[in-house]
Amino acid sequence: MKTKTNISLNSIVSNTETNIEGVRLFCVISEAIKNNTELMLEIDSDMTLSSSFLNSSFGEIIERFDLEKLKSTVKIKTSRTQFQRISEYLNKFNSIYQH
Amino acid sequence: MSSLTITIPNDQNPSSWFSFINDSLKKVNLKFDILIVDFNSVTFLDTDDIVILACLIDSFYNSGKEIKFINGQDSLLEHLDEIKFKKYWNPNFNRDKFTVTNNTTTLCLWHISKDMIVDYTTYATKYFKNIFKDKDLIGLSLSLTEVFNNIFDHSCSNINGYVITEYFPDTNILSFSVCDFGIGIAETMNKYYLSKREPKVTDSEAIKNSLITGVSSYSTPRNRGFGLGNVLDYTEELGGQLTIYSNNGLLLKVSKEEYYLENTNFNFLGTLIKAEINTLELSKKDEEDNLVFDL
Repeated sequence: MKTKTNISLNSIVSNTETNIEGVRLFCVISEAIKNNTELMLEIDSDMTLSSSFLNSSFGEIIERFDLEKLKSTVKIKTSRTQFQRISEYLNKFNSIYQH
Repeated sequence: MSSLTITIPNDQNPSSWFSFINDSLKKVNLKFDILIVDFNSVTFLDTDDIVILACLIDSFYNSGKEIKFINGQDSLLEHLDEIKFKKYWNPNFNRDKFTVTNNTTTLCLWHISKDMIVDYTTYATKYFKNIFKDKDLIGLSLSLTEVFNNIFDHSCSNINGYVITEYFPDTNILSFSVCDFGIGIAETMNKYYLSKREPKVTDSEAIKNSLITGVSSYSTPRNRGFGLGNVLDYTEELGGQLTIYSNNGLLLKVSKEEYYLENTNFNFLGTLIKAEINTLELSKKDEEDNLVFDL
């Protein structure tokens, strides 16, 4: 059975617009994958998730592991609009760069 | 002290402007002390005019020239005073730091610096929240961020670039323009194609390709071709338009219409991006933000 952890994106990164901060999120998610932990990631609806940030975090997870691994590890707590943005990014990224 | 005067075109014609820019740039390294920027009988400068002019003036300032301004109609001068435009090249003025505007619909010009990207986009969003109180402005901050990151990832510009964001209440249009004097999107894309032994395309086609999700010149390892596509999505969704000048290419994409591509003879070494949206199309901000979703 997976351990579940709640974590706020604000507590991991200082902004959501740069590659460097994206890497921080990548590290947290990849650690959760390795430890078979389920993450409930809280993302403010006001956060601007740039493509640089997403590429270095979620995108890198998809490339290193795969989308299914990401999906089985991370749930998102946010607004519907923010989730739609993330979901669209993941679908686009996966369709272009899938293994 | 010796001086040189450059005179801003009175019209808004791109051909006049790019001729003016290129002719002026040829004079940057001439030996003189003071650059006089003559506003002629100009009554209005749009966001794209302001940022490309700022980049031009920067080129002279960085070569050690003092900057002075003359002429211009009252309506223009008042606007420029409110956004503190003329102060930018005063000694001891920090152009990288965020400057608070005296205008209720226009943010001050900002010299893009990597350290301040987050601060600028945060301030821009807060500023316009005062006007569009319950509207979702993430698209604006995202588009600004994408364009700034694009400059730092791809342009190799000596002067970075400038941005200005303005709201026009009479037409409900929110516009931002960003300019840098770097390699140019078209040149960057074509260099990438050549490195892959693929054929070059026209500059306007290269600009269009840069907007396609997944198309990237991979200037940094983390580029994946999403950035400018996000800006296009923003203008498409919100009934606006996106205009990009780079090298000898022009791209204009009006929401829901076909691309307009033109191969120009502007020889513009750099990139000028103007994004406009119809603020009546802004959606309401999501109030409920504690929903749980599976990816």
